[in-house]
Formats: sequence, C-alpha cells, structure tokens
Amino acid sequence: MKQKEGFVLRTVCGEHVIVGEGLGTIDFGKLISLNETAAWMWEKAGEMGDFDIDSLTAALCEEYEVDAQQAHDDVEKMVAQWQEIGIIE
Amino acid sequence: MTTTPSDEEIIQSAIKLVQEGLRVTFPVKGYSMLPFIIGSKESVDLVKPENLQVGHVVLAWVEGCRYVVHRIIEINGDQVVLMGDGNIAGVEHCLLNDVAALAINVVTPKGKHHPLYSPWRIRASRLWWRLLPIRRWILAIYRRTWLKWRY
Repeated sequence: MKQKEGFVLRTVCGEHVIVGEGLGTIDFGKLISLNETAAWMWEKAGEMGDFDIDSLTAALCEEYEVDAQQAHDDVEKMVAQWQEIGIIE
Repeated sequence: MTTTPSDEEIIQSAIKLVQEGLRVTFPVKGYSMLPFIIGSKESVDLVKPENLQVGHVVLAWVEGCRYVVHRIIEINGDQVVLMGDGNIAGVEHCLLNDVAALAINVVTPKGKHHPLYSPWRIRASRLWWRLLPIRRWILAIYRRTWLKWRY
C-alpha cells in the first residue's frame, strides 16, 4: 500500500489535516482531521513509500510505548479508514 | 481540551494557503451574494488576488472589522467599494491590500465548479446591477421559488 499522489499533511487552524492538493486545490469543505498519533502515522507511511499494516505497526511500537496487539489493531483501523476515504492505494 | 477555531481563524488559514499560491475551495455563509452564490450550500474557489477589476467577487477585510465575500463595485486608486449581490442597500469599504483572495468559481454541493466570469455570468451580473432598484422584489420571489426548488 502507499499514499495516493497529492494528499499531504498540513496544519490548518491548529489541527492536523490531510488535504488533497492533487489539482492544486484545497477543499475546506472536505478536510480530514487527524490526532497527533494519526498524523505521525500518515507522515511515517509517506516516508516508507510502500507500507503494510505490519511495517506501520512496528514503526508505531518503536516510536510510542504501546502494546503490540493494541498497536496492530489501531493501525488496522486507521488504514481501513484511509482506504475508505480513498487516500491510499 | 479541544477548542473549535473561530470563523476568522478558519478564514485566515484559507488566506495563508491562497498566499502560498494554492487554490482553496471555501464554503460561504449567508445570502448576501444571491443569486450568484448561495450561502450555506455553495462554496467558492479562491486564488491570489491579482489584476482586480470592478465586477470581481473577492474575500476582503472590510471596515477594519470583518471578512466578506462580495463583489467589487468601484475601485478608486487603492480604495475599494464592495457590495453583496443579494443586498439591496449598503456597501463596504476597504483598501486594495485588504483584499485577501479572488473568487474564480462557484462550487455546487455536488462538486461542480462554475466560472464566475464566464461571458453569460458577466452579462447577468451587469444586468443584476441595473436591477438594483427592484432587487428586493426579485429576491423575495427567488427565495420563495427557485431557491427552494434548487436546494
């Protein structure tokens, strides 16, 4: 899996948001807001290029002190959301 | 504790992105730009304000106290006068430097982008300006009929 071209993480009004800048347009009616951990995960996924749930889980466990199973469940949920929104392929 | 940003903070975030050269699709509120932009339903595409002219719809900081998305009706040097298409009286004043963004498209709830300065919209806006003395009645009928049907 990898992030679709044109979706970037920005700070808007103090919130982490993913915006689709593919056509050079940011739609304020369709901002995807993230908490700190989700924003970190998005950035990490971007750094990895190609990623999967296991590799992102491993990175999350390295960065934060979390239970491995909990981390896996959280990553799985997050990735499912990204797929549903259509920002990864 | 999470705080909700104010309208002004949200607008300023949009302006910052426009200043970076990005195009921002921004929802608009209110009925002050009827019939050309329907607030609370439609959005506008905002870009950097360049080569401003009478007739342009802009996001501007007016009277030193609030942001509006209204049409330029007069430019005198660096003095700009604006008026909402849906208003029957009252204008706002600002300086050219207070114009934060130029609206180039109106965007429908379904995501269709319609240019604000197509030849027919320019003709329509000029006709609308001439109809100012009877706007009140046209808008009253418009709000009770076409607007209800459309959205």
